[in-house]
Amino acid sequence: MKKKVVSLLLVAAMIMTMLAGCGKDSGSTDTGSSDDGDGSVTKTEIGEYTEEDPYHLVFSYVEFYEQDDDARAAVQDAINAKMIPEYHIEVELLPLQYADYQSTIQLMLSGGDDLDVMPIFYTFASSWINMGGIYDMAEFMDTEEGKAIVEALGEENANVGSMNGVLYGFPANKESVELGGLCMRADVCDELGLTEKYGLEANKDAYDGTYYDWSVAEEIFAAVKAARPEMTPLYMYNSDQLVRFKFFDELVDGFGVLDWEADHASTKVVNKFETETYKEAVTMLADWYDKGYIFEDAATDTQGTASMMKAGNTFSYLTAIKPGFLAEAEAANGGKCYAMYFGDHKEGGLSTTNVSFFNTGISANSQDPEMAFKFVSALYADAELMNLWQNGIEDTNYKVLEDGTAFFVEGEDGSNYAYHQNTGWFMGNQFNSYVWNDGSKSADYWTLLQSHNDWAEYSPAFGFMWDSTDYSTEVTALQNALETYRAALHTGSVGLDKVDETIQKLNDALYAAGLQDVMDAKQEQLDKWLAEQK
Amino acid sequence: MMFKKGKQYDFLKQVKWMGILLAAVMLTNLGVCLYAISAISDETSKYADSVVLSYVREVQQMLDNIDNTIATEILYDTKLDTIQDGKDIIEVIQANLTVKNLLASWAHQYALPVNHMIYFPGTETTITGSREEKEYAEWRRIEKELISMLVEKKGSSEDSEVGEWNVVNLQGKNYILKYYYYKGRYIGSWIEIDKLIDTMVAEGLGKECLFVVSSASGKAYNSQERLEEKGLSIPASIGEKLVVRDFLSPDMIVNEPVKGTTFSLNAVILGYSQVAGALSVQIALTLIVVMIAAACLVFMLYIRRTLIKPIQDFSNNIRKFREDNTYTVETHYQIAELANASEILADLVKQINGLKIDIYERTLEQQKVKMDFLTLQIEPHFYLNCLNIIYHMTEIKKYKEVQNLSQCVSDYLRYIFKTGNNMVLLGEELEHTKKYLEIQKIRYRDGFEAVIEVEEEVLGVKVPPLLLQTFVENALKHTIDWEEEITISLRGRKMSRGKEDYIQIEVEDSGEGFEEEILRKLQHGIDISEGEKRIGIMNAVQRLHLQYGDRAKVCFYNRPEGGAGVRIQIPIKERKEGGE
Repeated sequence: MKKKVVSLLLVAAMIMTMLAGCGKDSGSTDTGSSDDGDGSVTKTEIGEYTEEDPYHLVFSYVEFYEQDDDARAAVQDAINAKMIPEYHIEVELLPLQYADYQSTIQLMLSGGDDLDVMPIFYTFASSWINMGGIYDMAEFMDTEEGKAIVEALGEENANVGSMNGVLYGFPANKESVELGGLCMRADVCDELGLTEKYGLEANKDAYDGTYYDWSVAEEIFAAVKAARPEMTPLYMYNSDQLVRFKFFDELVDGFGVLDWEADHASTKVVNKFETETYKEAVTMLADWYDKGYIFEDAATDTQGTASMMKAGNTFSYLTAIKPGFLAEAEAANGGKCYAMYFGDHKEGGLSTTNVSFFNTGISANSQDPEMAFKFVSALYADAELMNLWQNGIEDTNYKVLEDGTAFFVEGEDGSNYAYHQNTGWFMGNQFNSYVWNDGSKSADYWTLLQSHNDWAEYSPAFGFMWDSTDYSTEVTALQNALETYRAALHTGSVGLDKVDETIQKLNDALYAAGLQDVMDAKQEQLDKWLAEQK
Repeated sequence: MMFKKGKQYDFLKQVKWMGILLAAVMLTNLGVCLYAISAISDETSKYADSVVLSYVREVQQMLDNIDNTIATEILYDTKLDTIQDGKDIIEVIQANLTVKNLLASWAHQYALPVNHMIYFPGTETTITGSREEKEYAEWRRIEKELISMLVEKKGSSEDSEVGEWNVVNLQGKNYILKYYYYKGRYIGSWIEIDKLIDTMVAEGLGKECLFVVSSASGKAYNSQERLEEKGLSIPASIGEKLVVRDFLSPDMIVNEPVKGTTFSLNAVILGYSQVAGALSVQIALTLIVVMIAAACLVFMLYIRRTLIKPIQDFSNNIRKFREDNTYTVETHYQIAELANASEILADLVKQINGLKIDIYERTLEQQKVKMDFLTLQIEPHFYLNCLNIIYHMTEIKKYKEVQNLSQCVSDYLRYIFKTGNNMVLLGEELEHTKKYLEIQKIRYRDGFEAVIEVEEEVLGVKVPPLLLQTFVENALKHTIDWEEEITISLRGRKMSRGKEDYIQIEVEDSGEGFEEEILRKLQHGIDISEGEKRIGIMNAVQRLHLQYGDRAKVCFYNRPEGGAGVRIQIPIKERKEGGE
């Protein structure tokens, strides 16, 4: 009898302790915080997740380069081996192809498919927000996770992915400012004494504030043309390269812009093609073309710089330059090159769309946006996650070198690797991951890149995304109108004597297509946004 | 013998039959082989035909399509006029871009890139539809040469012209090209021959199948080194399908002209895999069969040489032996057992022959002894004398003595005739001897005295007949002397020497004894018979020897007191007659 009583008491005592323990845990958990260690629970407003019962998260992204399916599966397992115990999140990688990325996401959003984290290209942001497919992340910004993102991107960039009041996405951490110039053939430079004259060096491509006026470029072209008559001094092609010469805040589509060159602080929406800035650039180009400095077939050419440089008849081309550029250029162009920064200002302009290229956001289909946000934050704050996703499993897909950079493992290279996303510029915080060193980079590469951004001067409209949904017809018409004249004007093919005339024709066509309405609408939205910012 | 003979006969025949069978098999094999080769090569060539034909059709189709597309979509396009006029730069650029895109869109409609270009001689501008880096690079390489070739071809004539699809060599590479000259501009389409060949795949067509584009005269435009390596040349086109194939050659060429062009397509099949395979399998099988057959044959011949022939020789030898009792040892027997057997047999034969001779000689000897004995038995003098005595006795009217003597002689004779050659009891022999003595007593009247001391127990021993009598007779003959009375003593008793019991008989006389020479001869066993003289003794000794061998002894001696003596020892146990 006595024994029975004692055992009953003991059992009761055990049960009590268990309950007490449970109660204690649930009492101390805040919304949005996660505990590490076993037995802990991540509680959000929607659900509770543990290591045994994690949140299933679908992470979609664009796979720009082919990956081996088995390798990717192994990486997913490795990611989960970390994410489940640490975040109570079970990640499902959903790679998409760029060609049909837009349509796939759109289908998933409208079809209510399981989708948490997704990339949002800025041109699609407007339509996806309007169809209610994107979750506004503004509410999470005060959390620990939100703060981590701000820390990684900086206050300005963290909030650049907003439109119509919706914080829809965070840009990838990358060098955003475009400081441009010429990439020139080193051997010809050497031959003509340019190397000495301008202090050109192999692999010297980091910006230190030294830039040259385009008149200097003209001199160089003349020299080249004189010395090498069969060679094209400057290669230009059908795509628009005007930005190399003049920076406008295009306000997304370039129909109605801010003339930053004329006035850094201007917030007046003007017609780019009627500005002096524009006329200056185009006239110079036409002059060059007449002088024979520009590739004759530039207006219709679609080959691309690498192809032309490899063909051997081209001296230089226009490009954005950043640290590490020359190493890549040498590989692509088949020969050593030098870089020279050209421009009107020491700094480069930075508009919303410079930064906000592909943004990482949460779909409205997410079952628990809070958990999705935790994952998004991890992409910016957790180096291990970024490394796993981008580079794979250490010692299987990459190895860490002595200087702290990383490269492929033995036996693998750029042509036969199993897993290497190579898209740090796309989503998340690549500055957290290993510097990928093909022999040309050092461990401080991220620092270099980040300091490159220091040369940026923000446009007054930075952070503003114009919503063109209501004017999509006009925008299309404007694009068609522009296309008729763009190639001729922006490559100088139009010829100096025809420049003014053609500009006039262009503007007539633009206004006929509804330019004024578009500009007015833009100004309205901009003013509104500016007011909100104050 | 008969059995062995049969085997030999069959063996050779068997070998012969086997040989015929094998030859038949091989011939059949060969026949099947050749048939298989021709059947397979027919199949292969049919298949090759169809493959080539289908590719030719494909190529023709593609080229037709290209021609068609150009004719309908660009040849007369006013955009080309715009570009040629070059008035409004904007319009020119627009037209240029549009045309370029159009040409580019035609580039990848087929399994291989088809390049199009338009050249305006007036402004010396070209539009190319080659957009991909590789093709663009190719284009840049050949652009100058192609254009100058077109212009040269054209000359100064302004007439429109359309060329057939032709093969041209630009900057070291071969291309098929077609061009139009219309309204002062050239429109050309060019395809790398190597890329065209790359799209042609033939599986299961021989070990290696090359597709070769050739001119009408048989000049190859690709894979020239390989053809040279193999020593093959492309035939000239005959306007339709042509198959070039040597019967036993593993290579085959199917040639078919491509309509609407100046070139032909060839499939060069090196080593029809199946044929080569089948051929080699067949050959391998045949070789194996041949080798096995040869091995068998060799083995059989070997067996024949080492086993069968020796056995035959052996049996021949034995047969010879049966015929003429000679046996020669052959030394060529390679089989040890056979050689051994042969030697042992030779040995045996020698032994047998020896034995035969022995037996023969012994028989002769026995015959002689018998003869002698018989001769002895019929002793004319003795009987004549007895008869004489009887005659004389009747003269003096001693009828009682005549009765006695006749009775004795009769008994004596009876005994002689009765016994023949059989053994007698010593007792009987003794009685006979006594009778003899009685007879002699009558003859010689107290000329001698006979003392007989024979133990009773030896009387029952069997002894050869007329033994005792002979020695006694001999003693009497040589010692009887009308002057002195001699004593003849005869003693017989049983003795033992070791295990053997024997009887010892001593016949002594008191005469002069043996002469030295005679005694010596007797003691040495030398025959002392001289014709009729002393035959008895010798014969007795011989008979004893024949009967008892060494176990009987006869010893001649002279008594110390004077007189001759003979000691005869005869074993009591008999032996079989004629044995050792």
